[in-house]
Amino acid sequence: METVFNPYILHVGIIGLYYAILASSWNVVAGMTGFATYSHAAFASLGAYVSALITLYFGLPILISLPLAFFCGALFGGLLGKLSLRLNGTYLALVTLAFSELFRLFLTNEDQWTRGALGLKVPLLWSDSENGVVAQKIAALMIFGVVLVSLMIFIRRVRRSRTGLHLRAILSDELAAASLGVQTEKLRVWVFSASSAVASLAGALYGHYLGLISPEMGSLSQMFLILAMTILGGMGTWLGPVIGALGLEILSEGLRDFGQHHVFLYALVVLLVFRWRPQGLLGGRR
Amino acid sequence: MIRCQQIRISFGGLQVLKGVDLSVQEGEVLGLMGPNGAGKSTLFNVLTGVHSPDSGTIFLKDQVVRLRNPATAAALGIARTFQTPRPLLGLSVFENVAVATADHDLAIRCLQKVGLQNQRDRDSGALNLMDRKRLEVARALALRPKALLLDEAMAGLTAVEMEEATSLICSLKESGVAVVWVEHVMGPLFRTCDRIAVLDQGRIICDGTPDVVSKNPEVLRVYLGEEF
Repeated sequence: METVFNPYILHVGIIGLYYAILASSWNVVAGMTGFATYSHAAFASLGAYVSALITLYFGLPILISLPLAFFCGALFGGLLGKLSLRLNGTYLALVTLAFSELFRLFLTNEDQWTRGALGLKVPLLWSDSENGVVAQKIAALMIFGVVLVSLMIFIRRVRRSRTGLHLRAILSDELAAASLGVQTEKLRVWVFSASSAVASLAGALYGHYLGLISPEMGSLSQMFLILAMTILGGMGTWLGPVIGALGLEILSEGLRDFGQHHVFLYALVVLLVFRWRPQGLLGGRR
Repeated sequence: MIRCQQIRISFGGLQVLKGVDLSVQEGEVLGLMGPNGAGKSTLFNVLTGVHSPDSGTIFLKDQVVRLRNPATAAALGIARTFQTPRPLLGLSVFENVAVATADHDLAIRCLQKVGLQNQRDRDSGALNLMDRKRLEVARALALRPKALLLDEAMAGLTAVEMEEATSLICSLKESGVAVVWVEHVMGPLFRTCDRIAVLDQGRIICDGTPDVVSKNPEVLRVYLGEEF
């Protein structure tokens, strides 16, 4: 039991769950609907900064700033979806990449509010003195776990609904789906909005868990990590992104003992998995 | 049933449709033919909301309709098939039809109408060309269409399959749907259609019965050839 309740193990679990939420929510827009966006990490960063700034500058409690971060993510995600209605493939990728980088640069340059690259100290989910470190981490683990489980239940319900059938139709052929009466434009905006909202909520929780956020939270390296986790687990599958995220996070931590060779070994393992299972670990299972 | 008036559309400097007037009544099959590049597919795309015309009006049951996108057209009862069938891959035959309607019984009836009921659980990607075309018709019928636009229904089919497809189109006519049928295979088109319109360089150059069209000198010159 001591091993399980080791603060370090719990921390790895929390970060793994954070990435599992991001990978699963990105999978809704990219894997289930076929819109490969590259702004998901930026939305996590948006949620973290919105929640942090609301608590810091308006003095509102975290219980209020978290839903506001969620709604900001939904709003800006929906706007991005609306603005990019006519874009697909490479062009959609470029627009979302540009949004992501612009937002990161905005956070870096507006340092009077965000403290730029120095990072912003964020109120913690609870003050240090309230409980022991282990109890706090267990509580955080449960919060991230509840968000992930709720998200997974929601995704499962959507997949089995008529909306899920329409999303699969869009994934297969957007024009053919539209000619059968599928409201492709509305669904696209809805999917962008819902997926971004979840990323923002996860980002806000992450910020309040760590107590420090920086613009690098929304960097492209973070985006590509989410992408690798989703593809490794199985794009478009229900459970794949969770397996991919937890697997890569645990692998990353497990290889730390190899010091400077850790990144090389990490990349090697990922490449080998892609070589033997290009469809991902759970690819082919819906 | 469906009528378009003075439809014009350009892409860049190229004017593809130059004031097209066309109408088709309930239970009527209108053939649409013309050389490649005449604007047939573009007209289909305008009538199904894929492209917005620069000017012109579309009427459905004498009401002006604005087709903002293909989903709007489908909701109004304008269904289509594609020149190259586009089954929704990864979905079963039944699911392909179920995308168009939430009515389970209607979906089954549409599959029965085209003879695909025994393949309802098959992956749509595993169907051959004729069955893919059948599936497209079943999906279109599931929208309970007022107008059905068929894009080269005979392309790539064998003689026997063409006969089957012709029977299917005749049965659509009997069910009261207004059918617009683009085709390059002349035999079935002239045997089946009530009227044929000929499009050339973005203009309708002839609109009449198959007999009238087959004798029109301009149609013979630009498309059918003198020996037709």
